[in-house]
Amino acid sequence: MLTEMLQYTFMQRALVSGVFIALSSAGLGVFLVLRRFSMIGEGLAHSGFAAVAVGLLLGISPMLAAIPILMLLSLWILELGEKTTIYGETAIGMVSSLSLAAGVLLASLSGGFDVDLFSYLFGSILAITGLEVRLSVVLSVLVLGALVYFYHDLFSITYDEEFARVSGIRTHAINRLLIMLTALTVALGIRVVGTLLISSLIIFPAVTALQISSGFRSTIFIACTTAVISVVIGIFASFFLNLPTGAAIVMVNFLLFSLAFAAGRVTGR
Amino acid sequence: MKTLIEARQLHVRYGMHEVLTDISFRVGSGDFLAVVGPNGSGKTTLVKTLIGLLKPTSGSILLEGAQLSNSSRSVGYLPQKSSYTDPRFPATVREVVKTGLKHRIDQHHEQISRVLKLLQINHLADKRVGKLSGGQQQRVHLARALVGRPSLLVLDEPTGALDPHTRECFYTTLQKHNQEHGVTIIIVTHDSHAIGQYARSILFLDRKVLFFGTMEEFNQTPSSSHYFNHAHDEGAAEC
Repeated sequence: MLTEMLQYTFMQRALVSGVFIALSSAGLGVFLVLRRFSMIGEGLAHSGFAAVAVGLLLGISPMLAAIPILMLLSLWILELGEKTTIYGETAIGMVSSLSLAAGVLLASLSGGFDVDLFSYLFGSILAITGLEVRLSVVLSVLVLGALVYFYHDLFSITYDEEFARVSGIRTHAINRLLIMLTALTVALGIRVVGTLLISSLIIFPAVTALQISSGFRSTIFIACTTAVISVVIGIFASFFLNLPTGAAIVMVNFLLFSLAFAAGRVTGR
Repeated sequence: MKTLIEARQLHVRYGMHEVLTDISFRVGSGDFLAVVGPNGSGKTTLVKTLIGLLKPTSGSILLEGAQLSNSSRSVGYLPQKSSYTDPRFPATVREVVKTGLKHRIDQHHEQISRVLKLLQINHLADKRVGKLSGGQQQRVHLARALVGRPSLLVLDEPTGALDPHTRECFYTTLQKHNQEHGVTIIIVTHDSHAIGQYARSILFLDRKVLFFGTMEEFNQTPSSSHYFNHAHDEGAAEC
């Protein structure tokens, strides 16, 4: 039955893109959660709805449209928080609600779209196109490559930003890099779990890993493993039990978090 | 003594409020300088300016004769509250100490092991930093500051959270680095005992330099005890 399932092209595409996006979002998620940046992921995810609306309006892949739009919005959030009197979290709330409203207005003005907007809110990885698979693999590799290359700098600013600055790390640039990578990952994740659930791919694996890890590298390793397991089991469950894939992935993530939480309590972490 | 770091007519202003006024002094290579002064006298602002974390409103800082740049690796820094790591943060001692090194690749195993052994925390290398005691965490962050073999070590009230024994051990380690390895030390502290025992120079600050010189010169100053009383009184008034 498993072999039969894997013969379907849509399942192969879902698994390949799902695994790559899971790896990049989980790796990034550890830095975001520990830097208290996870709400930026949540805010950008909501902004993703506007990006989807723009993509559909222009007749291009919503994922493709989301990449530049979310990158610009992420920088705007950062600038608002750093260069004005607006608090960082407030800037996230402002930008996400504004772009969500813009998305709704665009959808309304265009008289509705041919495709199901609902699928972009909650994901439709089983309907992912060949172009989107290639895009998600290439860009996930790019995100993972950046995480590996800048690991030392990212870890330094996550642990102690002030010391990192004294050590000569360009913290301003690294913060921007982190936010841009987040925007990229959110754009990729829209297809997997949808704009409303994408932050779960970023937050859950990191928080699960934090329950049982001791070092930073092991945290990233456990987060990535957890993310891949949840995406694979979520896709399988969705196929066999006829469940919505995005929601199934989030539920598996929650299950793994609960197990790690219990294990952490037992081992006294 | 060759000058290692020099402040020239530094002024630092936060909005309309001038925190430091016309600060000028030179610290020689191998010196052990204590920066003292009452609360709110600008001590932390001064050290943050010296290491490039804050930009002076006017004036300049020269490190080894050149303008201070952020890419300078010859400065080690031990910030305030370096003994309060969040116990949930998943970082081992080895991982934290490694952030004191510039290069990204794993080729510094020996360098890290050496500094851990030197500070007698090599047995803690794979432990989570946040789970260690305040004194152990302090040593970890000192190791991080020293692992890149800096010529200048700047410490901002490093012993506030330590018990007297751990504090003594901490100062002994600093003195060893100062005397045996020639590391120049600038330390902000309220600890008059440590200043008397370990510092060779003293800078008394209250938004401007009230005194700068050697400990001998300071002790010969008739008003030296007045300075310390002033500092303690100011501190007590804020409690």
